[in-house]
This record gives sequence, C-alpha cells and structure tokens, in this order.
Amino acid sequence: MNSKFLKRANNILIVLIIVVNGYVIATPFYPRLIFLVHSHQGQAVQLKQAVHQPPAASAPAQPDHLIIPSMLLDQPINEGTDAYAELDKGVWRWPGGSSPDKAGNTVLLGHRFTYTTPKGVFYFLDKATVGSEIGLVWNNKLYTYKVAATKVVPPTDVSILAPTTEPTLTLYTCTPLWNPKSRLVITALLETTK
Amino acid sequence: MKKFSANPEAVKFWILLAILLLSIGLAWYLNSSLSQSLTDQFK
Repeated sequence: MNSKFLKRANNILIVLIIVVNGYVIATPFYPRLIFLVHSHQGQAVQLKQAVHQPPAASAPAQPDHLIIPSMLLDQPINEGTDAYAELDKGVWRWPGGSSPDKAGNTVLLGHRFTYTTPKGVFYFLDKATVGSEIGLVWNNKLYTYKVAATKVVPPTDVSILAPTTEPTLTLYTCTPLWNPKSRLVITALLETTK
Repeated sequence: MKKFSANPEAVKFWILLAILLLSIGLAWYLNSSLSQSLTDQFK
C-alpha cells in the first residue's frame, strides 16, 4: 500500500471512530433532549387532558396506548409473545398478565434505554411518582389509574407479576439507567373507566 | 519491526482499524446487554 492511500484511509478511519464513539456517548442524552423540547411545547397539558378524555364514540377506533403525562409518554401497546421483538417496538403487554378490561394485574414492560429505536420508552419512568395519573386506552375505552407505589426490586423478584384482586396496572423497567442491575416497578390502581 | 518502522502510516492504519473495531464491538455489547437484561425474565 502506498503512503498516499494509507494517509487517506487513516483520515477516514479517524472520522469513523469519532462518529461511532460520538453516537455511543451522545445517544443516551437524546431522550432528555426530546423531553425538553416536548415540555416546552406544552405536551404535558395535552396529555393531562388525554388522561381524562375518553375516545369519542363516533371517532375511528384508536390503537391501544399508554399515556403518562408526568413523563410525557404516549405510546402504543404492543402485543405478542416474543419479548425481545416486542420490547424493541416499545411498550409491551406481558401476555401472562391480565388486560384492563379483565381487571386483575396488567403488566406493561419497556426498556429504560437502548441504542436502537425507540431508545427506551420508559427512560423517564422514575418521574411517575405516587399520585401521578396514568391513562390506558384499551379497546377504545379509557382506563385512568393513579400510581399507588413505586419500588426497586432485584431482577429475580417476580412477585410483581402475581395476579391481583384489585384492577392494577404494573409498569416494569430496568434501573439504574446505566447499569440495569435492578428493576423499577410502578404499581397503579384503577380510578375510573370511561 | 524494521518493516513497520519503515512505514509509520501503515502502523497508524492498523492501530486506527483496531480502535474502530473495538468501538463497534463495545457499542454492540452495550446495546445487547441493555436490551437483553429485561427480556431474560419474560421469555
């Protein structure tokens, strides 16, 4: 290889190294940037209204989706049995749990952060504190929940998956953000159905 | 050793290529460990 070719190849390699490492370092801050932009656009107010506004009967059927105003989240709920594939799409309802129309314990999971899209739908799940409202549109009905408890459990603790007598919504993700050695669990109880 | 020192650009090329491959490997490892950790319990 001649020296001129090597010099050009080295310049290309330096650019590629900067791009790859820049992506690795900067991407975890991307959800924070989006959160900042959306909060300036007043999205929290819109979502707070959406938590109390049932889908109009005349309107076309909405896809099942989860609304959490405190973390500016409005995401469709994915159904399926392949955890890996469904979580890569966003929020996933664990098929072993219940669904809002059947009461019991509805368990929704989402990644805290990943480098691939959607880059962790539950990145800000720690912003859902006790008393926060959560809306769940399911089969064109609005179920409004209120957060009753938040806790951090080890990954081996599967008690949160247990059936409940009260209509409950359980949200589950990894914590802390950079070292997913524990799990953050949000338990919300049903307030209203419209 | 003599061959390498004769062409410092070639040495630089192999070092940069190794750094690039390591960076890609680290990014892949980070992403797969982040996404794998949650799915393990729900297979």
